[in-house]
Amino acid sequence: MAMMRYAEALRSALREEMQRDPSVWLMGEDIAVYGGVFKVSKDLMAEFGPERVRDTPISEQTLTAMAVTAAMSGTRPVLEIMYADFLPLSVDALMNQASIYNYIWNGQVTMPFVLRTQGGGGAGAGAQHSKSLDALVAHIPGLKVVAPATAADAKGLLKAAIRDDHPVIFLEHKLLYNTRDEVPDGDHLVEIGKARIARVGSDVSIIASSKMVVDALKAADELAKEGISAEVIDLRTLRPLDRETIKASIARTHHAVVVNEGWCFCGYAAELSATIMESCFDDLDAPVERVATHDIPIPYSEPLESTVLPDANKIAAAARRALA
Amino acid sequence: MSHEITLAGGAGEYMESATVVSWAVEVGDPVRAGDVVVVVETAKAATEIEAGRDGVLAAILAPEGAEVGIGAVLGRVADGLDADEVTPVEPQPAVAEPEAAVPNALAKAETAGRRVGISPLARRLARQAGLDPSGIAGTGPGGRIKSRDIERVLRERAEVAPAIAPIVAVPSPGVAGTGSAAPLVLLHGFGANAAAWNMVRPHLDGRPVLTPELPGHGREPALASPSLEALAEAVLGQIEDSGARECDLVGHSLGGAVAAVLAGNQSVRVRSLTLIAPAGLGPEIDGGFLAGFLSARTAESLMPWLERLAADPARLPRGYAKAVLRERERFGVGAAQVTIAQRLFPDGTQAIRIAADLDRFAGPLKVIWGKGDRIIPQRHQDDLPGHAACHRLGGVGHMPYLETPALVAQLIIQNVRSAKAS
Repeated sequence: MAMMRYAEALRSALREEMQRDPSVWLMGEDIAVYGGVFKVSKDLMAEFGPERVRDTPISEQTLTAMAVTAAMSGTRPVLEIMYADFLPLSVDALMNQASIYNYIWNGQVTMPFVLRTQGGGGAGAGAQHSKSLDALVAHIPGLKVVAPATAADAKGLLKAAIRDDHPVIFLEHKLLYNTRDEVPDGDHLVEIGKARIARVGSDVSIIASSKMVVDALKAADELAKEGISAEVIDLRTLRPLDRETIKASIARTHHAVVVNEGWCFCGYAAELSATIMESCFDDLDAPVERVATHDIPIPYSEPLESTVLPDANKIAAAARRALA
Repeated sequence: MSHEITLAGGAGEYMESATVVSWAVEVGDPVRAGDVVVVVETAKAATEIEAGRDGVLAAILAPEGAEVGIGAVLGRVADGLDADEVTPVEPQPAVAEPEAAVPNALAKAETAGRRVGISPLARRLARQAGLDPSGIAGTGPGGRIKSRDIERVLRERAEVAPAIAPIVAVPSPGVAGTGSAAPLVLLHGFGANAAAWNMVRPHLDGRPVLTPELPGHGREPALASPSLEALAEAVLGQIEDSGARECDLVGHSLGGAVAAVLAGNQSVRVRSLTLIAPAGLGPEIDGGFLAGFLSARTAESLMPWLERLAADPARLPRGYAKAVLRERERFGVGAAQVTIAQRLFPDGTQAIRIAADLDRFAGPLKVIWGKGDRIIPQRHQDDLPGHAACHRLGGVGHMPYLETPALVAQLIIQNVRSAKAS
């Protein structure tokens, strides 16, 4: 075990996979010479050379299409899109190429690429640099979508994503890069599609991902002071969704709070809520409580931004409503 | 002279049939040429059909919900209502019978009695207990009946145990539909409960899982005289209730000893047996842990003992102590567990033996033990029968299923698979 920052864990995953497999290479805006705006790819160009760590123009739509063709041609590109807010530029290549070629060509092509990006608010970055667009990509069949909350999962899931023969959208969070936790030594892999119980509890299940897991754990600490025992499920993978872990938890707690930092309307939390309704209805002792971002652009002003985004207090309040 | 309302002109060229979605006017209402009178839905789109002339809607021949053929007459527009037209006309053969009776019946039911707001769980508990929820006062928001209200009523009737037990004893959600597949039965250890397996379950490939509980550890009522055999019998009852005819059995610590006894039962065939740090293989056990664990009443006094369970206490889930205390408080399990400890582990000594049970078990037998186990020494596995596979896990204590859940799940699945092959 080694104490590591989330960003360092990502870098060590990239380095290990590039050392292991010469077909793995990186591209993105300012990732090579500058090392990435969040320094995830720092020093990798010096180690692996400019052929395998490539700076690109600001051209997300073209880059994503390049990643698709490079993946079809036998390499394993890892593309960084600097802000998730610019994912819409990538969506055509994701939706009309990456996610369907394996299907329409009857399995004759694989699509082993990873699109890394980071989203989320709370940094005062304004309406064009703060969004969580989980639902936009998780909506697309044929994509896998992961959103790690810890350094250990960031490393293990990125290594697994790079080895996956299907396109994986890897959602990071700008406020997690400097969080630290223990990362297992050695070839640490985390299976895509498996949730993690971040905290054991018996009264209410809080289901979250990415930075919302941190907020959910804080909420659970607050609730514990009131005698409420909250279980926190860290989904880790948004698609495919680990329904079994959710079902097993709600079968014991009978109360559910679903949390997602994306917008509320038609958001990922709505998918969780529907899943619970479909598979756990007879176990529910109260309506599912949903915590998500208000349906407006993310404000730049700090007090306004914190009003709009989900946080520990809102999650705790939702848990209290569920248990009322 | 009446004018027939048909699909002609309003529907798509590829249409073969349509469903009547809604009538915009009621029989007797005046209509003008060009007014929308009815909306039908074809395979392609919803289509509005207009009145062909002025008049009143004299008859509806195809009620809402009816499927009609391409040439069907949906209704009639006339100058006025005459006796013949008011009488509903028999639908043409092509027109399907509408389910008009159903909404009426529902409407009657809703107006006849008070509509009861009740959570799905509470409704299920009420049904299982044969309770009519309409007379129960709900304490949830807006007077909604929650499970606590059903439990309160049952407690007042002193019927709490039979009604509540099935929640745990039935197969967990997801088991349904797996047909006759033998479930994986996971049996927790002393002082734990079914939730112990939450960390392992995600790694079990979605296999059907049963998590029965030991008596006095949660939902199963405590036994007055909890011998090892009596515990096994209570657990067997829960497995039998699931309808399983065979199963793969996994037990931890005391649950491992119970599983060993169950391996020889005559009613549910045990295909494979996986024991994790099982009790019953030697006399030593950490008596200090048992005493401290049982007497602790706060997270602060419980945590030092819980930390002894794992080789690296940092691997214990956050909030573990509080969760344990919460369960104790909720189910009043403290006294029951003291009785079990006094009976099975008197004076810090294991007074149970499972060697003979293991000798008799012919299926795949796997034993998993942490080298850093401070509760039951791992050297107890040195005397296992020769057909047992032993896994000694470095850096792991008494709780391999919490400390290295993925590996434990992998070993369990290996053992289960080897049973299939035999």
